[in-house]
Amino acid sequence: MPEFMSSFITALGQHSFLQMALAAGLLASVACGLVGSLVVVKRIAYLAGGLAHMVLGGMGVAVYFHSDPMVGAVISALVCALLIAWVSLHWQSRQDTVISAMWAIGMATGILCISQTQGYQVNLMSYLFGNILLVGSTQLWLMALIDGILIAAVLAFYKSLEAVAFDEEYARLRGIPVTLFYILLLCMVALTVVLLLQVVGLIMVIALLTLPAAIASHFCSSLIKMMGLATLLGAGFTTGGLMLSWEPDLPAGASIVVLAGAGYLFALMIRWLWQKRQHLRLHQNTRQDAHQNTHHQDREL
Amino acid sequence: MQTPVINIQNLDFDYQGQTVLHDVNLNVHQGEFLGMVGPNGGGKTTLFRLILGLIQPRRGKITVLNQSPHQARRAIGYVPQALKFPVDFPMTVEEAVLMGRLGPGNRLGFWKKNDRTAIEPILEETGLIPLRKRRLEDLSGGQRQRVFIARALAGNPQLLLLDEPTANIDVQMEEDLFQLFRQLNQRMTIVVVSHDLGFVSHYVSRIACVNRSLHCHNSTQITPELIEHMYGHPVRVSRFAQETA
Repeated sequence: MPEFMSSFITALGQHSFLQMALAAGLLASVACGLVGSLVVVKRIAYLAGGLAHMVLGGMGVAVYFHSDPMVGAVISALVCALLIAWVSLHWQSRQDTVISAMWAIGMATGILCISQTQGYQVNLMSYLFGNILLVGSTQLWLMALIDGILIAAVLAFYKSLEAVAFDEEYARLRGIPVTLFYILLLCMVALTVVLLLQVVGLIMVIALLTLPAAIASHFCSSLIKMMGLATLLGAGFTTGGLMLSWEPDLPAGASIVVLAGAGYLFALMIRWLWQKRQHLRLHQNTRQDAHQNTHHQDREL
Repeated sequence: MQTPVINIQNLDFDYQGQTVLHDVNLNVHQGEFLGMVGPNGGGKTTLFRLILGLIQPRRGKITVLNQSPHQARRAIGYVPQALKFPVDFPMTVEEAVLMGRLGPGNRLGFWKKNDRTAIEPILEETGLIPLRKRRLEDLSGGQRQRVFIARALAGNPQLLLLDEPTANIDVQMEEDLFQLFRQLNQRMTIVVVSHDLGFVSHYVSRIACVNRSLHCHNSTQITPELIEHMYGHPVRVSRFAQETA
């Protein structure tokens, strides 16, 4: 066992904050796996990015009024999800511009509010880059609750969500309330963003929301399998990142994301090599076919 | 007389101030196999979307199976143009076909055993049994087209609408597909949009030219008049075409 691993495991037995951090990472990866997969197949990573930055606005307002930032985050995330749904349903042609504007305004509002609150510097940094080592038990319970809601939603609506993600128009023709499911999907993304903010912070939310799912998409034959694999990958990246960051005292959030990014590049490489092999085999097969055909023709002649 | 499966009267449709379809009248009868041809942007897909109730006409009336298009939707099997699908979606052939069984009473949870048994004969008929566990990504264009036809059939339609089912498919595949349509036509009405007039005319019972207006030709012979309707202006048949014909 490498040394960084054994020292992490020893520390894990000694420090309860490290156990909580590990639990937070695992809880986050469930949401990553489920919702990240939907975000990737529906190609709404950009909307999710906008949502994440707008949530900072809500958290900032909550901090300014001395209420719980998590409550502020949940409320603002859901409001923003509805706002984004409204924009993307009624303003399709300028969707990217409007989302960009909301993205910037949300973030700026958050920073203004936080800057006007005492002791802001610590807060701001932990919102932007996350601090998984400071996760408390209340947050863990909240994360578990959100995971529970997300799992229930996926189990209850799996085939409808799959259909809406794959072919919206066809789902509508089959009598699926597509708009309702789209709003549900964005609300699920909103809750996930709140949850991930705890672990890696706003800047890196998108990475954790998309990278495990993007890797999984290359190796799965169904959405549910993709969700499962993305969850496992997310768990691996958060645990691995935490482990790598422990001994050299690196920021945990950034380590997790860099590890996930490396994993993504590695997966792309594997995929590329595999496709090249497939291609080669296909090429050989067609050459064999052509060879047999010429033989066949010779005999006919 | 039996009421037509599709009945369109004096239909106008505008898009962004431009008239896309003008004064369209069409009756499609039970058991018919109608081919729809016309230039790109002539309004073929728009007409399909109107029949499906996805868009509303500015003027005129459409009934499908004696109901409004919206009400009749569930009895229509629709095969959209193949180009618009995200092919990298992680999904097997079987899962894609199952989607055709979605409906107001069937949208919660996961697919059940009875859904899987119900699509068995459809997979058989469309020749997808050996491919059922394959990912959509790993299929050829023709195989993928069969998947979307099977998906439409999984809803037990009385009317099948196919939008360019043979685009980007080689000739052998195209012929196989039309054989399948002929077989399906024994139990349902079919309307197929195609760019290939010469080919489609071998199979269909009637041809409709859609080019802002709609003209039907009862004979499936390709006449100069038909070609003129199709392109909206007289077409001079070139020497080259005559020689090769």
